[in-house]
Amino acid sequence: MPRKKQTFEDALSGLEEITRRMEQPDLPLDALVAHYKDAIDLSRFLNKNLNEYDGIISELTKTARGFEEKVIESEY
Amino acid sequence: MNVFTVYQLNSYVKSVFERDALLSNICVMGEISNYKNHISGHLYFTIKDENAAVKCVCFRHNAGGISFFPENGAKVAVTGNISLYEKTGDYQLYVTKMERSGKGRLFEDFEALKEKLLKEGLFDEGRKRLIPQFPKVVGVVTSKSGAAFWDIVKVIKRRNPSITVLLYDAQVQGVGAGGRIAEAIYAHNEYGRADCLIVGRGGGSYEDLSAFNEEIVARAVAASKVPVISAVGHETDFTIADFAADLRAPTPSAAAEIVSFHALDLSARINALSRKAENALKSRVSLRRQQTQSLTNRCIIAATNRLEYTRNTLRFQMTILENLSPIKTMERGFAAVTRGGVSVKSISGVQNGDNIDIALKDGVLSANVTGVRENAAKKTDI
Repeated sequence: MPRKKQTFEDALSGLEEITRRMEQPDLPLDALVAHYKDAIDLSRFLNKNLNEYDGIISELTKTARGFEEKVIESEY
Repeated sequence: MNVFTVYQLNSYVKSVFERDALLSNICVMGEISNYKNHISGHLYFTIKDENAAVKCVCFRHNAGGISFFPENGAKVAVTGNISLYEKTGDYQLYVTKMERSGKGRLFEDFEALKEKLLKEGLFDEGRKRLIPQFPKVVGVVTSKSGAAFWDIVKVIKRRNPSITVLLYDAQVQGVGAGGRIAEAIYAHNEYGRADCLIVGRGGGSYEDLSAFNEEIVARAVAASKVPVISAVGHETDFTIADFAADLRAPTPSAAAEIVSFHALDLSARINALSRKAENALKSRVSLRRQQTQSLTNRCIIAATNRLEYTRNTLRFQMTILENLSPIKTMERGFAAVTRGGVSVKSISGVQNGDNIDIALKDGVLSANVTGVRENAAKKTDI
């Protein structure tokens, strides 16, 4: 679980780095194309991450049985 | 009836006081008045409330039991024993300990705890963790029925509905609140789903916020492996939890803004980046295409020219060759002579009577030599 969230941060900074590199004038053309493929993959991943997840509001409680999560009804 | 001296009376009353368990060690709360710092070093004052007053004295040798000089008007709690000063018949509270009570006492406790934890290094900058920039699950420690929780939810939902809010309900004021808050922090750490925690409550009086000044809360915040944002009260409220936290937010709503990266902004940023990448690629490809095109053209032109040149050269050579061809020569009327199949190029060796073949452009004549004559002068061959 923690890994997925780190990947979002990594993906975003990775995308920024790739774009920066692609704007260097001396980068060979085939490297440019390879970078572009990576850039598209990353931006697809990031947008998916942003859009597909539907956050919920829930309450955590600890009982004798252990932890329990329960969705809270809200007006939002 | 027995008759006693005044001294006997006072001694007796004194002994009654001193025999009483409660009066031998009692704590009394009230307001200081008539404070006198005697030349002797002993402190004399009165403790009073709306209904009563009692004289107090704190002897110099007990001055270690008080941490501040009494001021008139200060609300204090004094501890000591009741006795009687025979000389005057005044009964007094002989003070061995004095503390501020009410707001003043809370403040003293606050300063003392803050000092203690500071010395332990609990507030060191180096201990503070970074708050994750893109948390997916935000843990909250506050009262479920308080406004703070719903303020947090409202802000997060507005800015980024993809974030999950996970609340661990905790009583935030009153007796035992500190323990509940600490318990909630440990629970989140144990459960492990939250990427960061918001620990706090809405505005209130100094006493209302006091749970966040408790040592148990400070230690729980400091020990939390999950980064903690403290969000207690209003902008100007500072609690010990704030010092121990990895980040202080002035209010719960502010904390919610910190954790909820604005999804639309981020989306725009991602799209801008991928557009930049696309443009970088396009412009480079177009540049390369241009370069390739122009080079290709140059190649073609060069090749064509060379080909043309070669062709011309070839044509020229062929013309020369053609003209040298015997067929062409013969077309012009010259003949090729052979004798017995062998080519005759000179008169030498030829005699009258020899049979020769004369090949013309369209046929062969068979002939017989009837005369041989040498040329007078040598002519250059054509």
